[in-house]
Amino acid sequence: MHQVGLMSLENDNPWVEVADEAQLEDNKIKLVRVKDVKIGIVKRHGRIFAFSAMCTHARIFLAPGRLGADGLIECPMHGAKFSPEDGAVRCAPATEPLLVYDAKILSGKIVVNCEGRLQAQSKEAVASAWAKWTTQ
Amino acid sequence: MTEPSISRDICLNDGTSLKSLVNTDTGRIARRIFSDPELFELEKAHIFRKAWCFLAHESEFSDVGDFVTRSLAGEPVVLIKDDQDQIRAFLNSCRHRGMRLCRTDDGNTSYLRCPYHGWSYGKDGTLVSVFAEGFYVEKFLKKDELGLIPVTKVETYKGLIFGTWDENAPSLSEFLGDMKFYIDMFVGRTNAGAEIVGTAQIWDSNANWKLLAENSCDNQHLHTAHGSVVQLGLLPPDPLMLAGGNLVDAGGGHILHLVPGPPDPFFEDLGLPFELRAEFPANLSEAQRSVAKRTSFSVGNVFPNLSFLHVMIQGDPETPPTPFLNFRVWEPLSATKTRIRSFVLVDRGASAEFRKRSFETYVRTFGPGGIFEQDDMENLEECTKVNSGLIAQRYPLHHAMSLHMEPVKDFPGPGNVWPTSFGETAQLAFYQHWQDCLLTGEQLELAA
Repeated sequence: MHQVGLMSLENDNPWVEVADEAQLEDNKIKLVRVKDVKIGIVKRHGRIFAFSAMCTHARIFLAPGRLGADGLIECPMHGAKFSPEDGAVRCAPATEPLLVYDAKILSGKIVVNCEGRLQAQSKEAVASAWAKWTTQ
Repeated sequence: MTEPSISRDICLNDGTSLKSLVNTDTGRIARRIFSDPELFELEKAHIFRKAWCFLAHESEFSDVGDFVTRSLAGEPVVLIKDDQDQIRAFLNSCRHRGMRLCRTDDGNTSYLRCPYHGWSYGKDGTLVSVFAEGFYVEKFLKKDELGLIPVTKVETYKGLIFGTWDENAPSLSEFLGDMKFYIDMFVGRTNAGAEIVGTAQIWDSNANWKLLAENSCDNQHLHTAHGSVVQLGLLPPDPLMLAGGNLVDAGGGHILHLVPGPPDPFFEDLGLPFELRAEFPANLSEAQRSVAKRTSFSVGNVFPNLSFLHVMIQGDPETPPTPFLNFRVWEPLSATKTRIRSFVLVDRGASAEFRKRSFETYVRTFGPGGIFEQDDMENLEECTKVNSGLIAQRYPLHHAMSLHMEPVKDFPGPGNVWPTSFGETAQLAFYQHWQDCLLTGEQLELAA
């Protein structure tokens, strides 16, 4: 897990350094941690994408490794698929998109802007899911 | 008869001497070996959990994530091509509750996912995801210690993938020994090698696996068991016309027969198209080419349970005789039930027309819809059933055909080779090795 570098959420700059560009292979997801929240980053066609590394279906952590041949992120457990570009659901059983973050390369480093939108990946998320289901 | 026999003996639960079951001097085989559960357990321990058994062919894995499910010593196995293009083999069982992970015969997948609680494994067997992982602490969920259980050893010979559960097994090459000389003639003769056509046919038979294996070196049943095929004109009319050729004991329980066809170059070199035969010199030794030249069809068994048929025959009265290559695995489910997994192979360099004709010839003659297979299964199921009778078991079976003959001295191929394909000497070598495996295995067990 990459250690957050000089730029961090602790100051006013929302961009957080999460990895060296050299650590990223094309089309291969790397998991990093921002404030104890796992996010995935992937380089594809020269662009960097960042997304919450928790499947919106059963809140399973997404896995590092290659994107599928279809270029999609696939949940290892139940097979939901998401677009790395906008997090859109491309295959059930997930129905909610992945949260995605702005990401870019800055002086050979991958930086991500989470803007306070880090997704709860713990018990709070369960409470929120119950609330959503019971109010449907 | 052909290998040094084991001097010691063991007693079965009823006091019967194991060595009394196979008598290669007189050609007598005890009937109980085809139905006895006690012997079946010994076979699983000392043959199937120790031998190299055929699992799959490299051509079944084109893309990353391609997988097949098979059985090794009665336990489910999954083979999958990982991200590094390596074919991996694992026990097909989740580390959580043991559920069978992969329940289809073949396919392509990105992860091996347990249908029970969802534990998911990468193509390299590593445990990737556990359901509700937040409800564990790391010391009670060491994912790096919970990967899939690999098949102990996996090796490949000429595209044939074998596995064994025995960490002390010799190399696959050593295990196959002299049989490699003959295997090359089937899957190593052309530049691009062989590949599987289509997918495996699978069916169950209420027959003991050894009867199925020994039938793969039996050239004398054709005119009786397959009499209807003779009547159709698809086999020569004189029952003794097929007595030529040779029986081969290649050592290690590996056996085959080699049978010539009519005196016509069309039937030489296993009847293959001439453009494929032209590739033989680059791939086969002079001795191998000499054996291939005199052979029109060959059937045999790689010990313990991989049989092959290289048969040249008409698929129907309208088409010319066409060769096909068929591999079949006899997977014992019990002493009296066997699952059969049957594959058609063809040389990768073969024309599309030959590939189609060869495959069609197979499906018309062998496999669940094949006319020969119907005859064989009927006979071998009946043999298994009748041989399980206690009265029947008072009297041994007879395997003494050509037992008086001496192996030939000047055959170009290795092994003990007899001057006819009508005989039971090779089958006796199979049974002798079967018995030796049980005796040797028990010795090791006792020593441990």
